[in-house]
Amino acid sequence: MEQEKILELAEKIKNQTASEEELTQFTKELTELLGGIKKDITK
Amino acid sequence: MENFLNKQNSEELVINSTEKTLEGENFHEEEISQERVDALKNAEQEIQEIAQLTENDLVEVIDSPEKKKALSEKLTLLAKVGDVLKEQWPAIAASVVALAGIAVSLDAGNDWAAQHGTQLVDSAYMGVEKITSMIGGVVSGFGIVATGLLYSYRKFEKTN
Repeated sequence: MEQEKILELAEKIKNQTASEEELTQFTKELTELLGGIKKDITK
Repeated sequence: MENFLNKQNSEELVINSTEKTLEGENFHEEEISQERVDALKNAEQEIQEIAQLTENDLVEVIDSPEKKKALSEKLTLLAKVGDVLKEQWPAIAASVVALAGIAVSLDAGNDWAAQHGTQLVDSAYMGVEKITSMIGGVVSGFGIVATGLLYSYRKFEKTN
């Protein structure tokens, strides 16, 4: 996951220019980030 | 230091927020794709699991500078995402501060987190024993922030 990618998607959401696919991708990236946080804590 | 990560209150907020996101907000499934519905449910699952982490889970992290820095980076990214979206959802602003405060308490060299987590920046200079005592609040804070971000995102979806 690239930091820039999720931030770019967040900017599109902020500007209300995100497509359905981009909204889905943002959610997936967010889930991956949350999973990484959980993994860092529990490993 | 204002302790808005009070463990008991935080746990109540996590439970209430998680229940609301899971049951209350109906997905307008005819308006959004099944793929996104599934992605949101996966995100909620991660949030629930983070919210259920215990103090013991964090002990190993606190004792390792490398692990603290890695976790600090991830929390900072989550805070940055919230920072982008806070104009639409002002409630996220508090979550950004909370996340940044946690991130800088884990890594005092995290400049971005230090700038944005001013309410908790003092924790960066606390001894390990004091940081350890914050573990309960930190774990609860994860749940609150992550749940709040997702809940707000779902509200955004209902209006767009």
